[in-house]
Amino acid sequence: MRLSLSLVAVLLLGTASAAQQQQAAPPISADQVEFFEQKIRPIFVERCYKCHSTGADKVKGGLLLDSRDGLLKGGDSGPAIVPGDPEKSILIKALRQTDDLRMPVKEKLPDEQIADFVAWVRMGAPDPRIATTAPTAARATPSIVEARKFWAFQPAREILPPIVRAPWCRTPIDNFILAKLEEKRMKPAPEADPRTLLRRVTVDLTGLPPTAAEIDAFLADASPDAFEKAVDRLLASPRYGERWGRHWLDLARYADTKEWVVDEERRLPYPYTYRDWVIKAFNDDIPYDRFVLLQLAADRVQTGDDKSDLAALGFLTVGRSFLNRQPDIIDDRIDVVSRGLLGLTVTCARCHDHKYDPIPTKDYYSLYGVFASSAAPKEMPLLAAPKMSPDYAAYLKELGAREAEISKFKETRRVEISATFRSSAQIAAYLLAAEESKGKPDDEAKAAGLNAAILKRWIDWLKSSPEALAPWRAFAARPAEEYWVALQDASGPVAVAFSEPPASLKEAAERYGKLLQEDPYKAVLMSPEFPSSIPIADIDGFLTGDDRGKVRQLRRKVEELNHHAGAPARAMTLEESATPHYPRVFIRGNPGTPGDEVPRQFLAILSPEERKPYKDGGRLELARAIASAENPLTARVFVNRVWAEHFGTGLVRTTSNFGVRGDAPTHPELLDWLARAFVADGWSIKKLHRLMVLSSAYRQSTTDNPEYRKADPLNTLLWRQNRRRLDLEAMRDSILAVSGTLDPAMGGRSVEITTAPYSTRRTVYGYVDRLNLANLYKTFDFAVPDMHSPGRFVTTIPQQALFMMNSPFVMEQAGRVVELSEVQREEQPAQRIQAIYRRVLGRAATAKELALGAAFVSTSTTTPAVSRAPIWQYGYGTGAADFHPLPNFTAQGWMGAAKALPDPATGWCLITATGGHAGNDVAHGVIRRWTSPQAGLISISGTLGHHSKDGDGVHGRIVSSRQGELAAWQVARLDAETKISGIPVEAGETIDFIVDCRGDVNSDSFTWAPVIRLGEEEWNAQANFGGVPPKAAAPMSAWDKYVQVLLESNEFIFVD
Amino acid sequence: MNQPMSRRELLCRGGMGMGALMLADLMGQAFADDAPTLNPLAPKPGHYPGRAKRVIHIFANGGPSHVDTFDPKPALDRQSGKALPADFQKGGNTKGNVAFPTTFKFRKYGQSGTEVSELFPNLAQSIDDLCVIRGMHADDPNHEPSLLLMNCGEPRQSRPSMGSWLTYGLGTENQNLPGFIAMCPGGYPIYQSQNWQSGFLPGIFQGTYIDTQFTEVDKLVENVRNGRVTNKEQQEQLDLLRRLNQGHRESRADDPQLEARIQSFELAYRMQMDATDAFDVMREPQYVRDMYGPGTQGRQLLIARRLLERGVRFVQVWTGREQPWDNHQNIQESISKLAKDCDQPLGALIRDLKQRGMLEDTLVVWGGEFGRTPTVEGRPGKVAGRDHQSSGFSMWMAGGGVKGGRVHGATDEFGVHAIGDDKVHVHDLHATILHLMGFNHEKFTYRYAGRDFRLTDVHGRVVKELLA
Repeated sequence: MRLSLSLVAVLLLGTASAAQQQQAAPPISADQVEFFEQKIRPIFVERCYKCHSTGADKVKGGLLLDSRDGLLKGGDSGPAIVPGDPEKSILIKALRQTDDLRMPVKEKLPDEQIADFVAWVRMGAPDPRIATTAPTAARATPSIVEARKFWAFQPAREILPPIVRAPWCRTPIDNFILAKLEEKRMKPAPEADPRTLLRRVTVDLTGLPPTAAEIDAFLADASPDAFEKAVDRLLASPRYGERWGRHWLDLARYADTKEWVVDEERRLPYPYTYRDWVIKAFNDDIPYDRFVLLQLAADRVQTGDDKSDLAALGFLTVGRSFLNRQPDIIDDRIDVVSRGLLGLTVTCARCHDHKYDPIPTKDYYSLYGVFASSAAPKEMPLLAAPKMSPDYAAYLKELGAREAEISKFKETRRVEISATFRSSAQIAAYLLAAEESKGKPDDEAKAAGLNAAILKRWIDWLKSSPEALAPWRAFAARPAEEYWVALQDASGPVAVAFSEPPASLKEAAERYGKLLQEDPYKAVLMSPEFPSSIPIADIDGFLTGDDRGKVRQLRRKVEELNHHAGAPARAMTLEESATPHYPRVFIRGNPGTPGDEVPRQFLAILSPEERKPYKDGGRLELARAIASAENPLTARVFVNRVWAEHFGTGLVRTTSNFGVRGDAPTHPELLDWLARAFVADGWSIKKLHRLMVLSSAYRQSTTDNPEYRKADPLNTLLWRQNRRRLDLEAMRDSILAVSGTLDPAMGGRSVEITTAPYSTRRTVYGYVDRLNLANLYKTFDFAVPDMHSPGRFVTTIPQQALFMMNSPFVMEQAGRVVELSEVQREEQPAQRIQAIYRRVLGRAATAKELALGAAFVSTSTTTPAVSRAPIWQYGYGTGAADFHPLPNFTAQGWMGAAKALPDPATGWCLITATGGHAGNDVAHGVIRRWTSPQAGLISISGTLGHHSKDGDGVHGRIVSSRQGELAAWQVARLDAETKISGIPVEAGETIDFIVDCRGDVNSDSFTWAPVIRLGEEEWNAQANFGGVPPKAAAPMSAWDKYVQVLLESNEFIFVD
Repeated sequence: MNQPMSRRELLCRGGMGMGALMLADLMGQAFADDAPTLNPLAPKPGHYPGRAKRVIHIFANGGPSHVDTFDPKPALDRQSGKALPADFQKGGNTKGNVAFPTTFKFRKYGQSGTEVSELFPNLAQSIDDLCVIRGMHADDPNHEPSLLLMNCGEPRQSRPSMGSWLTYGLGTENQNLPGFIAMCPGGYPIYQSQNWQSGFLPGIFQGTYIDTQFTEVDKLVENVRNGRVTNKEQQEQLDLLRRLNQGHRESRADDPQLEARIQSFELAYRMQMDATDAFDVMREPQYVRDMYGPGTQGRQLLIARRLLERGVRFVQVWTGREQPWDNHQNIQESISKLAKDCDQPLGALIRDLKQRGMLEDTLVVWGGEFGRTPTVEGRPGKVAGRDHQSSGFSMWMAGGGVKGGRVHGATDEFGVHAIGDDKVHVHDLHATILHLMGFNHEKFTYRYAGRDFRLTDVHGRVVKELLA
């Protein structure tokens, strides 16, 4: 028995320990993680961690609930859970509060939450939390050490390009690409032809197509470095910065407006100075590390008088304003910095530790502290001393006037409000309170219903014992004998006022209050030193809600002047606050539940073992830690972004997420090599472009290879170049470039580009309203500027085609191409087509294209301008030459009155979709007029009806402007078919459908909605009925329409 | 930075649930999964067949008073002029203010006998088709956060609106019209386009705003008309374009982007006709126009019906610019006028949809961003008005798989707080709408910045009791 018992014990123990070993590292499914993250962790954090976590001020009962180990080890009462067995788990008992141990102490959890815990324990308590049972500092280390092994947190390796013996390899990039291709037994695509290559690199680097002259020069250049020369020319062009600056503005979520605001100015004051700084930085090839440093901390690295770099801080300040909610503004800044510069999704850690990457919530709030330690200065600094100009002078004058408005208003209110404190009752009340004050004016004022600021002034005034106080001092609550002595010395009003001793201090104060209303004391009462006289500096504290509203309104008028043409450029900068912010973790991201204080410091995963908390706000140190060759992410993330632009996708496809959930690099060695080469080249972005675009990999054609496509459909190995489509900016700018209207002006305030008259500035200077992003931007996949954008989507939707087909802008630009002298001087269609091809597509037309073009321009329907009149018009009169339009389109239809009939001038005249009402006499027939757009034979059908029981009916006629009356009917209480056919019409000829009242103005409602057929087209009066038709615009010539087609073509929009 | 969104990426970004379900869609097309997403608005299935195919969300912006409309509170009469008991003064704008009973009479309607106030006599005729949710609650009695919560499921951050989610998930049935249209006469509601934003989804999923004070189609849909060439001329142009593009494509046959762009011009040409047609209510017979009535509300609801009929996925119809239902003072007068404008068209919409057989798969949602206090507005200078209240308010839904003739949930006896197990948070409403449209709201996700986002974030419960 004994033996067997112990055997059982051994067996049991063995089983238990085996079970425990299994518990040590149970695999967790994604569903389980989700369950834990959604149902369990939040409750632990909110309800338990305060007493049961490593971060707790004092751990209660020795129990830690912030790790699986802690739960299993348990506290003073033993293990908190038995995985798989909720009934045996102390935690569950405590939550159910059935026994003595009741948790949480304050309030029982809702039943469904307890049920979640039961379910969780039953599934084995799957717990993805990283164990942290040792004291804080040492504790975090193992996980960080482990996390550092992830490729993106390792320093870029020093790698030699693989040795590939092939003449194809022009640059080390090619060695990496070719080696991978050869592994898969693939060959790179042949080199693109020179014309294609020049277009590709020109669009890539400048966002514009090459001109015909540039193409000719390139094709004629037989030197071996012809392409290098072209690339250098493009990199030296100011157009380069406009193109690449715009790419950067995408990730900086650039916009010209704040978003929704309640009653402040919606436009950002000087965002354009940031945009211009970025463009200039690219053009000047500022080293990338400095480029980053300035955008995070230009205010701290500035030296000397040149303030222009302060504009760089727009990187942080051009984001949304979030109704001025500080935590959200800072979150947006953390996001743009972390995803934009580091490829890390740090803001995931706002509410809980990052679920995948080694970014604890504490690190998020460490960065939060950095940004919370800076604020916009009171006045935005000027970028340069303003130069006097008429605009600037006008600005200064207006500024002075608007600021004076504020001063004037405040002064008026100061006088008015001060007066309310000067009444005898007020003076009595304050005097008494001041006399009796025990040194707590705030509380005393509150208790007595007085204004604390005024009371303080009274207390100070009493202390200063001014002469005007003498009567008060003399008579305030004196013993009787002294009183009479004082009275003997008194004279005038004082003697009168105090002829009898006051019964109380209160009464004395009241008398004194009255006394001061009269001479000689009145002067004192009105003097600025008197406590009731509010100094102008303090007036804000006295303003009412309405006053403050008025001041805001006036202040806004001043702010509007930031948009005055003469307002000198300023930087939307930041400055460190006098005292840095000491951040606390917001539990679950809620500012209302502050948790532990954390130091301001950089992310642990990107810092040395021993992190040094920042002494000051820390923005400069943060900037240095990012703009550093030591940072494993900064260079990698940026070279990957540049690669993505040149090759269509990044080596890491998720360009702003280099974390665990991002994509792994397709060519990790190449990425590391590029990052190191970039740093070694002094962080020169232009050298980086050169490196990439001069490679053979870049120069490949886009030619398809069906076999390769099957094997590698995403072309991750780069067996060819990727074909790309012009984005919004490149498309619009290319149209302007080929039409010769592109305005090369750089910089300055943003301009509206989506409405007529159409600006011809580059699209990068277009106004970006983040609140109501213009349709053009949305339609063409512009980066939504609400937050950092990792890349543009490429979609194909019919609204894009509608823009090409119908927007006045495209049609106007097509016309400009035709107007070019190089096109106009060619009179032969074939030559003219060639000139247009050269201009628009940068090449000669083929024989087939010539034939198509010639056929189009010779046979294209050209509709004479006269027929551009609206097809249908609505008026009154007797027809033909006697036609007067009805002025108002209302819910009822076309009529004389704006609201209700009858109209004094046109009586009951009304035309509806299906009929109408005739006017008050025969001269006021109502006319539905149709204008023929072209010549041909028409037929007309329809029914004229009069259905009222009363009246003598109506008289209907069809009258042509060229042929006179074509037909006529009289109807009363019946329908007549109005059918005629075979009528020849000219373009522009009008056909009037006239109905008059036959003389008796009574019940002249009628129905008549004729249908006209001309060839294959049909016009239905009822279906076509509507308000004002579009204004007739000049027709497009056949050549205009031809050019428009070329602008619409795939060849124009896609880049091989 | 510039990459086509391939089908595969769209799937990956769509999260596991979407991916698995959309796989079937892909199987038929060999290798097409790596083709760029040519038209992300093409119709596609949800997680399961939804009871509703399209949504009309009628947004009574400003916060309509529930105690004057759909939630009768006789207890207010007894309490009239007195402050509410202490429990009813917590956490809202009722504190310190006196009970303000409605001046409108409630009456039972239909077989269900649901009580509706005299403000909505015409709509009340359809009460047996409506499910009135009296236990709605939100988080914040301020317009901005509550508008964003109601539209995007999150009160502060940029997140896609419900219409964006649904057009992203389901595409739209009519490629000649935008898939998500937001209409508001006379200007924008407050927060403007943020109400129909696409957040981190591509911009094409954002609502297309239409100012329905205009009647002209070219003011309603940008670039839909050409004032300089006739249809015939444009056909000639497109014919030439097609030939030129074919020549260009001969040596580039592998690239579906090229074909997609060619197709988009054909679509655009048809869109000109269809959009003109869809927005032109004069093409409706007179009796239908009469049914909706003569005003702007009638016209925009009639336009909405025409759009829904043509396959637009999500139509949002706002009462008017800024916040018309924000009746801080003289509520009796102001709400009477609003209800008068809206009642006839609302009733007409339900009847019209029903007559056309569309109600069964069209989800109609009516409500504001919150309700109003049963107490009189306390702020100085405001007379006989009601303040904002997010703790309890009413909405109603109809059609599209919703149980008609039902009253769901309740507020307390004075109408301050939604109470009981039947209360419906805005997240629950979203979960329910997504369910009716064929989505499991917990699995309908989009990966952005390393995280899978949902319309309902980490909240939401499908309110099964509302489902027919």
